[in-house]
Amino acid sequence: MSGPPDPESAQRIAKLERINAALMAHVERSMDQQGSAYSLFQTAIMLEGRVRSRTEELTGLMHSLERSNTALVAAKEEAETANRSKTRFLAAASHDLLQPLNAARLSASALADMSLGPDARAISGQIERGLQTIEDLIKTLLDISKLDAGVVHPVIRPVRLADLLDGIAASFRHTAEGKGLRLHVRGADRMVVSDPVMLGRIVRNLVSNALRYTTSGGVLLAVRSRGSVCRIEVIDTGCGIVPAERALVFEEFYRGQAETRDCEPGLGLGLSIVQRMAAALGHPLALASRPGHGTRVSLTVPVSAAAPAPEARVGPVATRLTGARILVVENDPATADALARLLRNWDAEVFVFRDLAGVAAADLRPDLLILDYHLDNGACGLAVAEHFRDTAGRVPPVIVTTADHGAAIAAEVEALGAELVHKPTRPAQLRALLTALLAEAAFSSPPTAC
Amino acid sequence: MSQDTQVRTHLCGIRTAWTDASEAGRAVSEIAAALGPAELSQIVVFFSSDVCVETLNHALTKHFPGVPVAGCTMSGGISPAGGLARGLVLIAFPMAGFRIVSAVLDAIDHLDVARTAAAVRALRRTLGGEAGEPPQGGRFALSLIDGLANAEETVVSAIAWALDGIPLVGGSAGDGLDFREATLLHGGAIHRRAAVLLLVETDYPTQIFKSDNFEPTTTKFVVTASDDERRIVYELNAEPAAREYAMAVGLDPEGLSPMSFAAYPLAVRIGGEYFCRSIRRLDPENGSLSFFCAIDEGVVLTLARPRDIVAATRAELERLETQLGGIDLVIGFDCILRRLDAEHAQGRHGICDLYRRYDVVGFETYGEQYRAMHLNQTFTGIAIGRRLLP
Repeated sequence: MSGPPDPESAQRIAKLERINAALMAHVERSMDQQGSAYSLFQTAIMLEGRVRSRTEELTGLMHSLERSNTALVAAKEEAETANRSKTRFLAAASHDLLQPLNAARLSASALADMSLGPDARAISGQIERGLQTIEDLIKTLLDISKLDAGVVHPVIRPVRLADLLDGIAASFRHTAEGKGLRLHVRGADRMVVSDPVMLGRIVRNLVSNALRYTTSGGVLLAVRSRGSVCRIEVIDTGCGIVPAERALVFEEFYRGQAETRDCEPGLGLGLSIVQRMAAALGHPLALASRPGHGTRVSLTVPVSAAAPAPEARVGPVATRLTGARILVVENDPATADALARLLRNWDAEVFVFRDLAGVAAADLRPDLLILDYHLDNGACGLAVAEHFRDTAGRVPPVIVTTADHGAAIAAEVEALGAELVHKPTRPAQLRALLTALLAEAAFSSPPTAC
Repeated sequence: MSQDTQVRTHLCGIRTAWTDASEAGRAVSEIAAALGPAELSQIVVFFSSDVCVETLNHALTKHFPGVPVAGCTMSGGISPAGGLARGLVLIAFPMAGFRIVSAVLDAIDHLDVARTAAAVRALRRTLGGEAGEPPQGGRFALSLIDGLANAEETVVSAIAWALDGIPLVGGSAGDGLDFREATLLHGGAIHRRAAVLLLVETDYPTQIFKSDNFEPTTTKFVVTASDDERRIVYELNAEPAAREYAMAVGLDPEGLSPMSFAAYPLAVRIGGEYFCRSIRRLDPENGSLSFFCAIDEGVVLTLARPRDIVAATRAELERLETQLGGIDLVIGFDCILRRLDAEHAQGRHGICDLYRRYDVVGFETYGEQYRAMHLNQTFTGIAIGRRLLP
């Protein structure tokens, strides 16, 4: 049943209808493109809201990027500062350490020169070896820091593996024989592309390490071709490395758990340097080991397409001591021995004579002369240089050693164009001088065949 | 100098002067004497409607020869010493640190949007020198718009469109709730039904702001009959507007006054936010309500109530101070209804304290501009920081 609504309800309905109509009209108008003043206001707010939220979003994003950027920059700077200060510290420390070390070595050699009993001589030898170890350690640390700081730039060129590996094997033969181990090179007839100095250092370290941890059997230096690359493998029959230790062997100062019978334990830096140098050269390094059976470390090196450059043989002489032919004239057998050992450690080829007569008889064409000023029977070492000038028409670079600090000798040596080194000789100084003189000689004149 | 003329020099070099003397000639000569000879880039002046605008214009031209002047009538002045019921407030921008250009827009009740935008773009180019040249410092825009021409939305939309992101704040010129006429000054001439736009480039850090102090209630009205052009609402909820509003707030329709409108503001909700739409006046003849802003039939109005105006204003100024690292001065546009609200809530003293503390200079308005928006019952403005930009 429905009747007409009461007047109050009718009025309410009419009002609601009008409100509804107004709302509908407004909604429709707000859909129109033509804007009223009110819709301009509405648009302004909507735009403002959108712009603001977008701006806030972007500002937030920007701030967070700024924050993380700032953090990254700070972290990078911190790391760089730490690295720089580490390098600086190591450089400063090694310099500061090498000074007293030189002094200690001077004292040690002075001590060795005294007439001592066999016990004292043995102790003196131990001191010398200890000092040598310290010097090696410092230099190795310096090398590591240089590699880490990225200041080592490899000089890549074709390298004849046979020369490199045979040379290394030869330098370790004495050590291997001392331990009753075999040391062989196989399949080295390859040319590779690498930095010969760094590559040599890597292989030397690997061989040294292999020999250290091997008590029976031997060490094999094998080269295997794999298409455009070849693998240089250092294989030993040593104690091996347990899996848990494999990642650790490349860490600084890590030494194998296995006992070594070596009287001079390693510093634990060899493999750490190997890894850094291999990384700097871009040569992949791999390690395989069977505990109790042996270890194989392999370095993958690109094969050189180029024929060996004629300078390849000479190159090493010009840039480093490997293969340099050094003639030593020294009347004191102990000094001569020590010097020869030192030079051979640097991979030089050494010929030792007591006097001019021996030199004349041998008729060699060395790359460099190291002459003691005061020889036996009042002879002077400078006569050897004169001999070369007279017979070969050309004097190789000359280093004159003497314990006499007098000005007269200095003048005489200078007149000859030779370098003067006072005894006791400091190895570092000698090495630097040798390198410089050989580099100079290689630069200024063509190599002479022996 | 008489007791009632004061001058303040701010760190950025802007000097502000104010007087409650309404005799324009004497007021300007006193201010000119107090300022002394100075290299000014712009003068902005706000004056009460009882100030003779012809005399004022003449005096400004005479005492500040060659200095561009922009100004408008105010419904009350804001100075660093507090509020001014009448008189004039003057802002003198130095040459150093401020580059200012300005333009007047005439006949804003019949505004040509495209031409306005073109004029504003031309103004921007004047400031920017060669096209494509990056601005030397921070930029902002100030608008002074006749608050009785019912045109702020159109003006501000056209301007903001052409400003392309330069922040804008401003105020609507009024006449102290007489609702007869607002007057503007620009280029040594008097303008009515006009707007003045100033573009400022400064070496000092700046930050525009807006502050309001109300919260919505659940009472809603729908505009069911209106005259959009004249911003008049005849009906709310299909009832005579004044009666419906008065009933909702519990007042007698005949007793509605600006004080009531300040105490019971109306707001619209757009984009999730409420914006005050303030009632300008009651027409006792037909019971209609006119507004300080655009309205439209079908618009839903929400009854709002003011919150603590002093606390809200202080919070905003404190935020600005933190953000800028110290406020040198504030050029502000404060709604006339906010003054009434503050007086009603006994907060006038607190507001004047804030004007003093933050060196606020400006005027009481018939509406406030903020970016592309024309707002009501807000406090908008620009805060200038203490540091020189690097």
